[in-house]
Amino acid sequence: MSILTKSIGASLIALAASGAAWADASPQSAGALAFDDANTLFVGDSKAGVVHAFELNGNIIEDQADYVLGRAQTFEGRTIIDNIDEKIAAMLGVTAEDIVINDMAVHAPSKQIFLSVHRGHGPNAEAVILKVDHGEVELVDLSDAAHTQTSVGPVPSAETLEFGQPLNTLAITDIDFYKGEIFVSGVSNEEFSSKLRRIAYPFDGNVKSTSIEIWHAVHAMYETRAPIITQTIAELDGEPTLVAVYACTPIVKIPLAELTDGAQIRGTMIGEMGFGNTPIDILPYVNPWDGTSNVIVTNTNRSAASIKLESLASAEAMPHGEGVGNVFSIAGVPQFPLPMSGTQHLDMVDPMWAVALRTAPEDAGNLQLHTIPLPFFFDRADHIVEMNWADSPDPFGYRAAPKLEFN
Amino acid sequence: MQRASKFVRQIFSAALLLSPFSALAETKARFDAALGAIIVSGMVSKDTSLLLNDPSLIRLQNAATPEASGMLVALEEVNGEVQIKPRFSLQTSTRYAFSINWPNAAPFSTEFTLNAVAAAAPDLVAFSPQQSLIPANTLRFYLSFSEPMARGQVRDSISLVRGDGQIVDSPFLNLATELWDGNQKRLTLLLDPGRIKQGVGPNAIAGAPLVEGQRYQLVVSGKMKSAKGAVLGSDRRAVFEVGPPERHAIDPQGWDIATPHAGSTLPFTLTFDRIIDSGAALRLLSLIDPNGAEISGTLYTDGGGWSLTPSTPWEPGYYQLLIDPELEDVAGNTIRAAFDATAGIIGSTVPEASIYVHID
Repeated sequence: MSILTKSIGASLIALAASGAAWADASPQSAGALAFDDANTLFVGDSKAGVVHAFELNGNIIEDQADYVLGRAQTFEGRTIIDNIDEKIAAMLGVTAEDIVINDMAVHAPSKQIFLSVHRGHGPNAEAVILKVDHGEVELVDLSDAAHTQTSVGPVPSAETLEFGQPLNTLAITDIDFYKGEIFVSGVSNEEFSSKLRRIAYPFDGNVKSTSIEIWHAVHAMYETRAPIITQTIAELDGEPTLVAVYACTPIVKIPLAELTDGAQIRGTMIGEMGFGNTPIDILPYVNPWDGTSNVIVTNTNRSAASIKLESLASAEAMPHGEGVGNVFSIAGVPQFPLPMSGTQHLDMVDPMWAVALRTAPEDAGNLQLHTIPLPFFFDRADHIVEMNWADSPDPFGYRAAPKLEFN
Repeated sequence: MQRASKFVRQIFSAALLLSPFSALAETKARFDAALGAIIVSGMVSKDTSLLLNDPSLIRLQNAATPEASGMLVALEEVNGEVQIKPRFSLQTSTRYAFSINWPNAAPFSTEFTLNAVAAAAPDLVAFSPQQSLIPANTLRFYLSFSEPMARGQVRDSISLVRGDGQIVDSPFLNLATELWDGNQKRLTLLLDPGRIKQGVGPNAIAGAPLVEGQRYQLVVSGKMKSAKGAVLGSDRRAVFEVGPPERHAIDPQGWDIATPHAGSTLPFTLTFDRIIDSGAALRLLSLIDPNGAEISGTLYTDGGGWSLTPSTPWEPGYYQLLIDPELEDVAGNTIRAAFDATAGIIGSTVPEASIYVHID
């Protein structure tokens, strides 16, 4: 009996008893995902202009500690699910073209992967939260979780309502949790704004909306504003600091202490990821080999890059102002390129492993969930490397390692 | 909906007639469109109990994915019949396979399709800025459609073509998320700011997407689909010419104001000295009456001007036009600073601006 069937049975007993139809606890839309340090899942709902907080309980979260993620010593990741879009679609009674996987987040204590998915492409697309349990995708019944929410979108006025729907929307691009607060970034469809929203959790109705304005160091003479696409909080020399990547793609750091309500701040522009590109995610991680703290940035049109926190801390503001030449390429704080093309979403699972939702390196039609060993985010099987060849030298003894057997 | 329901019923009946198993001869299944549920009737009570106790006997699935596990369904016994409600609504024009896999008898199975209700063909009904001449550093276009549209088509369906027929390479910011309004009838396209801002790589190497003096067509492919799957049919084109860039902060002192007479309900009208973002203008300009209350009425803007026709006649006195600092022109300039601000300007706090006018 498959896990899916089991979950049908479990749901149905409750439903048959109550005589109710499917309880509707689903968000209107489900985009950016984030967890707090415990069991709260934050879901960005751009359509409703809110961030939801679901307290996931033991019925929802299932420990994945016994699920083998691969063998980091020999740079061998594990494909958890191939053609995951097709599998999700089948579960939802549609084909893969009708589903969109919007984000992925790992619940660190259980190592369980959660996904936000839309069924359909219209305004009434159904928002679904899924989880991965030992390699199987399952539906999360959010009606089982205590729910609160906070408004982050624009407050619609009568003038902007057309048939009851606001014209002005905020596409939430990232949510980050840090010590009792969430930081929410997004792109407005009517303003080119660099507003970042800072909200205490549990929600108390207050939204500190901070306008952060930055030097755009690629400009020799100009400064401008742009929406933050993704951000993380890192402690740089002990000081909690927002590290943000903007659309077209400066990296900026701002001490959290400066992010007060209504403040207007000139963030320190410390790097440039290169143009013709938008960032997807920025995530902190610790290099398990040397213990250094880093962030990794994934991009739409470029490979990923890692940056040491030490470098972020010591980075000087990039030169700006009159007389400074243009910067056309990757510049500023040192960045280490990582071979991760085709990555749509990335999150850390544990100190040794990340997980990527990506197109398979050998088959662009295969959207897969695949684990990737740290610190190089490098899976041998993805690449044509000499050590994969049967008669090549084997200096690290990869071939001596027994063949991987997955549970 | 009636037709859809009947159609399904016929299919189920046909399947039943073909069923050679006498034990199941009484069993009938039909789809109730109003309930969104499959209703199985005619089962002996033993079978009903069996089904309610083990819903995994049921498999309902898109017939295109025969290998997939069944969709999630909820079961309920109502008046001796079993209602099977899928967790996710069934879609029109999709063939579904439904079966009950009895442990000790032959399975009951059938397939059915919900008839599609003909969806209205969408149309492109507005393009903004609607002026025929727009600044070379225009940051944002709005496209309004008559029907809610499907997400995920922008990159392949919308192109910018220069007067000489050449397609402009990557003119729009490639955000992962498309910027639609809540109804998915209005799309916001951001021209790649990296190509608009002066002195940045994309601008210096690839050039600005819009070049002064050139004519352009924004082409929306006829293949673009509504949320219900109906196509535009033929390509739609918005044609405009590009003028000099607008690189200065908005200065409301440059606006012409036409005030109506007290006692009338004629519109209060602004004429801008540039093209203001039409989305922002509807939301970020307001007029406060002599008693401090915001005037309500009918707003209109084409980006070149703004008018407010009040619901009740104007009273004499001083009115305050409030300009939110977030108001942008089509090139992203605000009252606080130009989009490409000279260094040192935009960090300064500028409160809401206002203009006082007297109506007499």
